[in-house]
Amino acid sequence: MGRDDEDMTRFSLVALAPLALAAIALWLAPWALPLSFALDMHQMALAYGGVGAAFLAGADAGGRRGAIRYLIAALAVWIALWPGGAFHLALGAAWRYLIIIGVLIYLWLGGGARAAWKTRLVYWAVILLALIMSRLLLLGYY
Amino acid sequence: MANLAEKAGAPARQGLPQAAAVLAYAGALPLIVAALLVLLRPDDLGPGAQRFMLIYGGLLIAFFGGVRWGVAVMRPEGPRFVHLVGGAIPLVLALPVFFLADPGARFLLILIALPILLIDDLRATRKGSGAPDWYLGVRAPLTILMEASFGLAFAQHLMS
Repeated sequence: MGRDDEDMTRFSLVALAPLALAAIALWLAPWALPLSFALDMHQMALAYGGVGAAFLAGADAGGRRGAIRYLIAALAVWIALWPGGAFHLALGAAWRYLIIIGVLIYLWLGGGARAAWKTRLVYWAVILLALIMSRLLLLGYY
Repeated sequence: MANLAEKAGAPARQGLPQAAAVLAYAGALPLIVAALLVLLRPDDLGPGAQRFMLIYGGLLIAFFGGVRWGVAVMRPEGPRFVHLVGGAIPLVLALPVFFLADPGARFLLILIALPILLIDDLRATRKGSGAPDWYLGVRAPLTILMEASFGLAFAQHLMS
């Protein structure tokens, strides 16, 4: 791994800190932390994950000079973040994470030359989002 | 125009700018419709359309920042730290759009961020370190359309 790739890996892993904090808060609630706080963290993580996925879609579009499907990936993120649902389709909290996880994996698979930093970023982001999603399911937030 | 096409890439990709332009304008269409709904049906459809616009705007800022990041990463000499930070700033700017309670403040943030990102992209392209010219040729009128849509919705929010 080159120096640039190491810097990029460090940069992107630091960016995952809010997701890690949200996952910890959700798994510590309701025993060590109030559930309301953990659910606020979940809202933050959902928006952060969505914004991150849209950013990554943009990065792929920029890196590959305008690939259109990345714009569509960003639109899929919008569905995950739409609060009340649309066209009589209301998504539960946990399933919104599934969309973001799907978009991240899609971006990773479609990325052509998969840089090490991007692989690590997507790998850890998916694990953290899956941790949040599984805890929400256990708490009954389908 | 020939110069623009050369800068955009290989001749095989000449169809891409037009396709990207069509999709970009199609992407702006829901925003224009939502702005009209906020303006014309403020009581019943307006609140939903407003929420739609705010989420859309936040994601647009993140997406444009990502494009900047992607262009920086793909530079032949490798990414420079300053360009990576420049690409990450829109990501930080986009987050309050989702967390602020006041829709007016969220609209204002989007209205300020979009032209700043465009100006920054134009400067980078002029220096030869940004996106290709055709991208900005699409992006500039698109930003004006988006600004008009967000501006209308913001004005309606202030009047209500």
